[in-house]
Amino acid sequence: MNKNVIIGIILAVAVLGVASGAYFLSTPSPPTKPTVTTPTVTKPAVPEQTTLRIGSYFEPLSLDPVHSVSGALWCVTRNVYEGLLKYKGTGTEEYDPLLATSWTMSSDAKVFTFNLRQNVKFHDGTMMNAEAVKFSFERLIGTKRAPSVYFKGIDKIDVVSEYVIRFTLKEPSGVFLKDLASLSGWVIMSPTAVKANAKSDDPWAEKWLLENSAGTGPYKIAEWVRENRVVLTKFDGYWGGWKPGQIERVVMQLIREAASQRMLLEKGDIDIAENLSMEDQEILKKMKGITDMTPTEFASSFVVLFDVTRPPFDDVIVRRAVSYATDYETYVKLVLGVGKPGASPIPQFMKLYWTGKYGYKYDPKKAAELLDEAGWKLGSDGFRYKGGNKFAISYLYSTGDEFRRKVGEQLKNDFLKVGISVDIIAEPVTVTTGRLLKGEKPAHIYIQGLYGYGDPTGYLLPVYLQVAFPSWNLGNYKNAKVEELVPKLIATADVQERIKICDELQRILCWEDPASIYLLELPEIYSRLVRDWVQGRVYNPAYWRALNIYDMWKGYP
Amino acid sequence: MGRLNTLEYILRRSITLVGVVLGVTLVVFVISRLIPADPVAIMMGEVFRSDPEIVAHFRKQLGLDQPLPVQYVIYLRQLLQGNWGVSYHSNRPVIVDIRQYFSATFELTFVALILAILIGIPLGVVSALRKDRWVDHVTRIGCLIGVATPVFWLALMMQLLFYSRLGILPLGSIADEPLLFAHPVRFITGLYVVDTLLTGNWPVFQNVIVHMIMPASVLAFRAVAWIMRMTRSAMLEVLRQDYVRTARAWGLAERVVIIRYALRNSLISVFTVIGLTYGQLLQGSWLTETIFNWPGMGLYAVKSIMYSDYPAILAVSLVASLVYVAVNLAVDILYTYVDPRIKY
Repeated sequence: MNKNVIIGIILAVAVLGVASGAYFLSTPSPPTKPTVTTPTVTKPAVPEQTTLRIGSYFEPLSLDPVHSVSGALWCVTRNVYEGLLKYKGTGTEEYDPLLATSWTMSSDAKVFTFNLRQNVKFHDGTMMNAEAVKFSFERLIGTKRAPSVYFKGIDKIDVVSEYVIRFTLKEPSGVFLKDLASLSGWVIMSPTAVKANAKSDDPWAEKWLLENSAGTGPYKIAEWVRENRVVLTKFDGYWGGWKPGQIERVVMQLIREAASQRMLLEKGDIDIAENLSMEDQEILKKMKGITDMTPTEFASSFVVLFDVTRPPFDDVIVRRAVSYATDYETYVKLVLGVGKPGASPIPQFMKLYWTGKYGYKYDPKKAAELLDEAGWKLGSDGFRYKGGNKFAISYLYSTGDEFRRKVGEQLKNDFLKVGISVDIIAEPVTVTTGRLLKGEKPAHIYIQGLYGYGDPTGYLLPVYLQVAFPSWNLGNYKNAKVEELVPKLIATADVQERIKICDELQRILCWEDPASIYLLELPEIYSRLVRDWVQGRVYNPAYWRALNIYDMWKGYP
Repeated sequence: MGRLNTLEYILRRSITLVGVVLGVTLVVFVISRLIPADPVAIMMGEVFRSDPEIVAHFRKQLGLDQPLPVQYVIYLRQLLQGNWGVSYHSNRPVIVDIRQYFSATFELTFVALILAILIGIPLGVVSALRKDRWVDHVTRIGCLIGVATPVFWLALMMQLLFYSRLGILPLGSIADEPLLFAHPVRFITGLYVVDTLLTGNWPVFQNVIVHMIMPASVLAFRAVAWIMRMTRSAMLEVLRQDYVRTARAWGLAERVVIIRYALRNSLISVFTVIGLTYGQLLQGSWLTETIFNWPGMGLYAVKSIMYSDYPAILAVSLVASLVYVAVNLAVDILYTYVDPRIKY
């Protein structure tokens, strides 16, 4: 056979292969389920009516609600455990009763008394009462993990009577009810189950609760196959009761490959896809049978933290300059328009406390002026210099996060226009933390995401206080006034007082001593597309990604 | 007589095996500790306020506050006691993790290897016999494509075609979840295929086989190429030999000549490649596992590295080196059966 013919065949096959791949990936494939005809509209039949199949991206480290504050765990906690209160509807300033039917707060905001709901069963059949609640909170505090940090202010817990419990705090708190309504406070579990599974080296039965549930929630944990799926099944004894048509099984299938999630969603083999690339989202949103469940309240906040301990960002004017040099609208475009430019460390959905008056608008001319004023002059190569040093900085993000990488590229572009050179570094989170602990300074700016808390303190405390170094306060920001005001904000229950404190904090963090560039606010970090037969989801920014599965159902309205 | 020598040989090799494995643990241990990562950070899961008291408490618990040599000695001692440590990420004993993931990978790579052998060797033989004819050319082009095609591209294309467009094969995972729920599997060996067969769980057995088709084919695609090429060149080498000409001159049936004389003598080289191929399959399986959601060792290894899960990383390296050495030993033993001239 002629050598040229062979080469020709190989080339033809290669080109054909690449072309077919490109074609397949750019067009959605039609679902092939049998169709159900109603008078005006033809819709596919709903597969597995009472099972909710979710394509998830993160696996929790543990299914014990006291173990972490990760979104992956919250997706499970919200449906398996319950707290004393929950946030009312879609806001974060009012509460609905949950395991507590009514409550009072003392005038000094230190003593909180709750009347508990009666006839509530735990998954193991025992009854919930004040003793159980006390035990659960003692367990939360005693296990010393991330969620416990919100409840360290509890001085004592008193069982007043079988269904009345009283918390006395060491300091007054304006956020205690919010902490209880947040998923970190949804830890109420059966003391009987804990004691039965405790061991001498494991007094709180952490090993057992890693994979088993003992809560009061509508679902219990059926199985957890690591690196594969979490399955929840309906708890028949749930105090809220069951109606036909509700979801009875939940399968959270871990699918790390975005292309796979897309194919499964198109075919209807999963109901909800949590991990899709931006390009896939664009294509799928136009497809029939797919709804966009992305909410309109934005609870995720992306900020770019400055390392304020060394040049060039030890200079306040330089930080302001850089905040003017950022073209905020282009970042919204990165998320296909589903986001808002940031203007404050406090996200806009907290309408009571947010103010945009200290925010920055894109103004490269002003940025250039300020940089000149700070002594950074433009050199002949287009970059700025001061005292012989080039304005060259590094931007750090955690490896594998495509979105944050894109943000870095965009920042690089923006800053280039005012003569700043940016180097983009990727590192695993654990490496960065390790280096920071050793006293190293891996970069000049860090991108940080914050999410899911019902109070401004949730977006301030973890990032701008010294105590949060190096976990989230990557830039080692320290400001004496902020250190004083944030605890004051936590301690005050008077709303008007809080609004004033928040105003002052925003002024300091944006203007007087900028801590970051307040880049972007997003509804959720990962967008969520669902098949159009999924109904009933109610979004609350404080509960972030966690779904209210008990209220959801599959079918057509 | 030959058998006794072989046993002695195995014993001698086993001692070297221990040395190799120990060396691997030392190297991996040192490297993993040198990386400035902090597993406590990930273990505590997004600590909002990193209470220094809590952090110190966990460091102590994990033994990370001890000097390196002490940590290594503690680790070796625990290994020998059968305690391979607890994974920081899954909070389970690492051995439990490994059992789950290794079984899955073993199943997949074993099936892929069998497929590759069943297709690769005959193709190689045919190619060698029909050298320079169109069969040979087509097979060799196919092999080139097999080796050059990126694994993830092939996997995604197969998913697109067979799942998305045609809907005849499932996307991934070991089995369909509703089926596993309706017919729970009782595990004996930890291998789905074997256990469902042994317990008569027919629906899941069929389902697992169907789920295996795509990932095993993707893995086998490359392996077929290697095995086929080695078979072909070994066969060509052997077919040139005088004794083959003699066998033909004696009037032996062509089939006997090819299989008993030519193929048998080329098998040494082929077995070497099969041994190496198995190593490659184990290595390369992580991409395939990620795309097909096959919860195996490859996936586990990558995850452990991302999370600085020291016990897991060490355990994975240990298992990988053990398997590799064992496979090579097995191949060496097989030589004695294939070639009676080889004695140890």
